[in-house]
Amino acid sequence: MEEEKILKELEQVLRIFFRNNQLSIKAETPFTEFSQWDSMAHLELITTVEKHFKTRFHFSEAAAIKCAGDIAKLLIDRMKPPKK
Amino acid sequence: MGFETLPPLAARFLENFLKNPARTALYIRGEKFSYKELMARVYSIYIILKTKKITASRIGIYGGDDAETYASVLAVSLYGASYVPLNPGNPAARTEEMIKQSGIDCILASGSGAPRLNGARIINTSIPEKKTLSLPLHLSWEGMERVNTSEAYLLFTSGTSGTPKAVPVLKQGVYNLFQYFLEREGYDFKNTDRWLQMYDLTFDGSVFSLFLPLMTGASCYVVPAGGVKYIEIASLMESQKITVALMPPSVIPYLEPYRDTIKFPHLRYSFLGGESLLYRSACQWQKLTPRAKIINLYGLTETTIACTAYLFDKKTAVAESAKGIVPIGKPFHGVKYCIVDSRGKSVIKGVKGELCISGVQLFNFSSGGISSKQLLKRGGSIFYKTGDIVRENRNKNLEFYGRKDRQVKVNGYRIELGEIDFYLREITGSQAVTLCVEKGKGVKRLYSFIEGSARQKDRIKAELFKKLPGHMQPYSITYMGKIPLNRNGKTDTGKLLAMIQR
Repeated sequence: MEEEKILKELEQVLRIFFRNNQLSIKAETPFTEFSQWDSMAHLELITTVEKHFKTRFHFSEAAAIKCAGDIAKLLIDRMKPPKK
Repeated sequence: MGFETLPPLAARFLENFLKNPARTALYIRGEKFSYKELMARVYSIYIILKTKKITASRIGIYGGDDAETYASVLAVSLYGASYVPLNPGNPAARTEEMIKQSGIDCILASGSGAPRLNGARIINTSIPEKKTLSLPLHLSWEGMERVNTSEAYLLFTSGTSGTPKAVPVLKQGVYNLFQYFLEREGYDFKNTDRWLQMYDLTFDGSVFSLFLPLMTGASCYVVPAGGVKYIEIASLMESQKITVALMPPSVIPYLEPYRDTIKFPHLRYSFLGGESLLYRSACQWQKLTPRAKIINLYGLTETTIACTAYLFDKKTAVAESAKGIVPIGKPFHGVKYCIVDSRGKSVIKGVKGELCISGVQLFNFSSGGISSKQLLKRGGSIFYKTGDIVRENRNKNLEFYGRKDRQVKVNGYRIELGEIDFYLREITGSQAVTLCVEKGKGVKRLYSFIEGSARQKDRIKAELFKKLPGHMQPYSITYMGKIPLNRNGKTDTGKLLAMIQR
């Protein structure tokens, strides 16, 4: 449920990022399938997501991001209360 | 060392195999190959060449990041021939043109993916592990050499006329470069070093990153193809504790945002080359690589990888960095240069002009597809006009000021914008202009503008993919009624740039 909600919000972020109001994303769709996807786009998208969700990713986390589902998982992890 | 009877580039790889067979030579796609394991593959490919009685002095290698392709490079070298790397990712028409220009009729290809290539004979190098040949007790490069050519390899660069330019590079030039790094300049390379190899084999940075580790008995770690390049580079550097790396400076701005979460404390030597190095990027990079000596290298394929070097020091470089660009330093021993004005006359010391290179590292211009306009005769020597604008400063270091033409470097790749325009015009029959624009933090992208409607957008993109490799594809194509001209009738780049910024 949480993932679905985050993916919806993420879709809005990606629509603005890719300047495409019709964009619909699936959790597992690799970003490499988007035209205009390159190293710079990868970096810019992560920065945009960080700003929107007011968070910072570690390099190893950013390195593992391949699709929207990966971002959603990282964001869900951040919402969990810290382990005691 | 005299240059008369030079051993193959892979000769010292063979010696290091004999000395330390169990040491790791190659790390590729997550798999380690010891010197012995790699040599077994090299020897098997060598025997194929010998059995088939190949006598050609140039042999093509069609492949990418797999052990067989790397073994093929070494095998061709030990066979005494020059290698011509061909990238399967390139459009077929471009590969055909390369085969035609280089005159190769024998191509080593790993896997079954090699297509029929312009009538050339394809030799499959995929050897199941169990089928690699046992190595003989006595191996020497003198005993293995079957062809003896003075050429080390042949690469292609982007050309304005739409056809790639062949650049045959001589062994003498490569050995001069090796001597600079291994004997003359006091670099303390060890056989425990782990070197990064991030370049496609069709790019001359790969010669540096493959042969230098194997010559010093060290290990070569290959960055996997595909994926997001800067992430693959940084991940490999971090996970494998890379100690020596050559990379283009454009990698730095990508990693800078992660400065708090990533460090490369094991890196001892960081060679940066292929693009201008900004002072601020070098300072940022030094923070991520606290133990590394940062060396700015300058060179062209035509001058054998690198021919000048500058050891970066934050304190001294600040005063020497003209327009914020770190100097390219002084030429290597054996490299001659002059700086000339637009009429080909030498400039007064301290004045900017075009850098021209001569000497032992110059490519074999007599057999390359070079226009005589790019050569300059001076005092009995032939100089290659690089197109790069430089100035010699008080410390005799060369400062870099950019290009005199429309050649650009994007992610370390040398691109003639005219070549992209040529194909866009050919495909559309309309006027086309491509610009290279820096999009923040030193990262560059290609933007093309075409006169006409966007109706055939998909067809144009598809056609362009048939003509040009991935690194030359525009990031965006804009269709417009008329390309704006300035008062002098030239393309109004200011207006086009404003459109990109919007």
